[in-house]
Amino acid sequence: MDPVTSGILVVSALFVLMAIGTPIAFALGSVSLVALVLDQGMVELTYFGETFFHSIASFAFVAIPMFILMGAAVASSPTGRDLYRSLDLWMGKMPGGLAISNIGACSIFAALSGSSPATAAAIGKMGIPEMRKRGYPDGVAAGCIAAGGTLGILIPPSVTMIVYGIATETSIGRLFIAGAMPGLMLAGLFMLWTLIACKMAGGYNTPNPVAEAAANIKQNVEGNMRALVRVLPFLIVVSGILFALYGGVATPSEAAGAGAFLCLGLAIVVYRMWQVGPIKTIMRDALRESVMIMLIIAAAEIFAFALSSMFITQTVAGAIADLEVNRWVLMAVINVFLLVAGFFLPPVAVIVMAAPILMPIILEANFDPYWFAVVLTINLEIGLITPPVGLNLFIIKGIAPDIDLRDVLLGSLPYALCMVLGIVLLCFFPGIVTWLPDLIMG
Amino acid sequence: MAESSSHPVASSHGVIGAYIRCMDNLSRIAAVVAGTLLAIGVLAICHMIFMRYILGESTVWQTEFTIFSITDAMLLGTPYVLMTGGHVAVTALPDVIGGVIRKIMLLIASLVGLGFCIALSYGSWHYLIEAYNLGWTTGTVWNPLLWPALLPVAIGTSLLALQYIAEILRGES
Amino acid sequence: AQTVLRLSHQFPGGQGDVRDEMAQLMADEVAAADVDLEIQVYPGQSLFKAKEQWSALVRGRLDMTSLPLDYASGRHPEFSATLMPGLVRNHDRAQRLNDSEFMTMIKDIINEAGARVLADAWLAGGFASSMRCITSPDTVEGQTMRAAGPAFDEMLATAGASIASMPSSEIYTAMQTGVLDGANTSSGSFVSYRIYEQVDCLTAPGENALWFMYEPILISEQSWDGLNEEQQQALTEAGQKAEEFFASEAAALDQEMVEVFKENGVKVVTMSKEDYQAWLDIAKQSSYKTFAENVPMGQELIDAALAVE
Ligand code: NA
Ligand code: NA
Repeated sequence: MDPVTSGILVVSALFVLMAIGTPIAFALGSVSLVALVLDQGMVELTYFGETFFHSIASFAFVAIPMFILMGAAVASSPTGRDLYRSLDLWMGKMPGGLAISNIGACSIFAALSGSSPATAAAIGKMGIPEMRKRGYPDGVAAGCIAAGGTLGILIPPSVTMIVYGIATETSIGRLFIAGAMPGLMLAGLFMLWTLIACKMAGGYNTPNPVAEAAANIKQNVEGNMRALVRVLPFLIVVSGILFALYGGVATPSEAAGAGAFLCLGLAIVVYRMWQVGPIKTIMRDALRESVMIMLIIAAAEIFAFALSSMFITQTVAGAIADLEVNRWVLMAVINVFLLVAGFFLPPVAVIVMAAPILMPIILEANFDPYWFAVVLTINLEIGLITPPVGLNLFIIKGIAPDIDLRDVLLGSLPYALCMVLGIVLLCFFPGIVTWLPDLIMG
Repeated sequence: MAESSSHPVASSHGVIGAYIRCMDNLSRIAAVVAGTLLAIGVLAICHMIFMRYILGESTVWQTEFTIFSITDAMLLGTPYVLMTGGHVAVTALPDVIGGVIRKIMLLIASLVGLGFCIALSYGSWHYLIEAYNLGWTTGTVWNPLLWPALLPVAIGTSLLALQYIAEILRGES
Repeated sequence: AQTVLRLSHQFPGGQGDVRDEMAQLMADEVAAADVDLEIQVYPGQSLFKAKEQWSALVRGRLDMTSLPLDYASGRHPEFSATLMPGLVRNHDRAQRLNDSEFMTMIKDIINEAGARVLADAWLAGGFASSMRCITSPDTVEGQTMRAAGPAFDEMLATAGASIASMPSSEIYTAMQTGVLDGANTSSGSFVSYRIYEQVDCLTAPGENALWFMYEPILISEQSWDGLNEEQQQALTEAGQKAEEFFASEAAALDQEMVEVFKENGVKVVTMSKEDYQAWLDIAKQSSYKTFAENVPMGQELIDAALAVE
């Protein structure tokens, strides 16, 4: 069978399995296994355990569960609540201020955590009920948390940037810094849209009832300072860890290990979480999320191996490389491809499968691999808030099951458009990505 | 978009109920071991950082030890994540269709997942037994025997397959 | 129909890496022989990961590979002898070693495992340091070193160095941050990882090189048995040509490293006969001894290698 036909068959089989509700990791894994056995014989089944184990057993990949553990330690402490209260007090009085402080809190939390669903969950647990209580439209409340949460993988640290760095052999430290400015830019765009949306909905003009605010103001200022003091150590630890990484002092795995250890320690000391209960919660949350992600990565690695083994990868890459088109047309085509892939697959799966194919093409067309990493990440962030597979939408549904899915989707859509706008801006001003890494790392 | 549905603790009686409860407990135990391995992996990295950067001494075993303990944690944790509905699945289409067709779709999906887990478990035992019988090591500076790193993998993937059966039975009852 | 053989290696494709060119040359030669045989090269770990190639090869999941044989030392500890300090010494001696009793023993193990050698290749390497030039054993005392394998580690540690284990891709960062003072790897890696930016002194292979590594092109026995005689003949001849090509390029690789390091203001030295002998004495008490104790036929392998003139 020629590579194109087998490629179409493999991808169709994957979509059918996913459509009937097979968990993504098992759908990827079983399609690849069957394709490998048909193509290469039963020997692939016999040695499948070995292939699977070694697809994730590497020193670079262990950084992912440890960064997730670090994020879980921060998240299970009341950091999210503290951050959120501080920002609310500063911004609560301006129109749409609460929604804007939610996005701000998401950005700061994104700098403490490497994952998008974790960011959405940590801030959303406080933010969504509060916004709804104060009369914000459901769509805005859900949308700004879903979108703000996606910043988790753009603002460093980032689990997906680690996977990209491994897949393309680029510097993970540099990838992290490259995401910082675009992350802030997106946060700004999200805030801008939130203002507009609140104005349009007329729902912005319901801040804290004045009397309540006046009565609480003194206590709030004090509480605010205390909250800040408690969040500060986490910010210091995480930025210290990241600076060690950027300075090249530590590898991502060392940084993640130290970060997990220190944040766990801080959660115990600062938030007095030394009982067994909270620590069990941290470990359980970290285990659940990292197992889910690592299993998808392993399955995606096997899928990529199957595609390469059947010469599908090489055929597709050759066909794209032979397209005699303008480099920006090429970039547009790649973006559409990533966007569509992101609709259906979680970010890590798309990166594992697509990055090795796209990297030579990107370099050939003279695009910066770090700039491309950011563009790719934003595409995949869009996928996090679009059906059918939108991890952040799932988080929102978990926090506020009574918000109609239609409202969540309609509320999130404009934020997805903000991200498209962000990609366009990056195309015109690539310096937004490259300036900071060049400044810090030369 | 949804995570695969999570179920309440089995309440059914008889052999099936006992099997489900037994698997749930085994998966929980595996998760505790996995969480411990994850924490130990973090400590090993911190030990390496301390030895290498602060004391300036040789570091030989830590990297490899961390790789194995954390990768093992990930595979030992899979049955628990399956039990608690943490493996992301897209059930939008079956949910929209509903009725008997929904049940059939989800059953096929579960059987595909189960088939995969059995294959993975078979492959893992094959690898473990081969590594044990032939006394393979990792061929690195530390050079430990390989099989102890593979034992949790074989156990984890087997529990995953058995837990999948429990989930299918739970869905039926 | 055309038989397709899949050849996997870990080196960058189409960018002038000698091992990639060796593989391509075999593919071209086999195609030119017109025996219904095609070699499809998968460079840069695009099929199997570097450390998984051996296992895939001997099980017939992969037809051909070009890899550092030491990668399989976890399964065949004898292969550590192909990355053992001081066993090779220089490129001329590497040629003589290929036809020696030592390589017959190694190739017997390769054959028993289910593979056969199509082309021999020995890569040289050296030392680099930002602390002081590494020549005699006492020069490594107090240096934190990254070695390229257990045997080198043990020898360096015995000579008084402190060892940090890491992949060669991390040497640059580790040197930059002072975690490492010195490193020990192949000429090719020293250049491609731009180590010259971080060190003051390079110990080039020269006539008395401690570091040599065996990186043959192998074919799976199962794939070999599936070929007809003409195809086997064509592969053998292509392997011979690839081997000759590599032999002519190997010394040039070292020369290129020396030039690049000199251009970047790095001092370049080589080991004298006395330095080499002193290292060999240390190796005999440390890594050779351990190897002989732990590996069946270990002592015989070392004796056979040292017996080559
Ligand atoms: Na982040
Ligand atoms: Na999506």
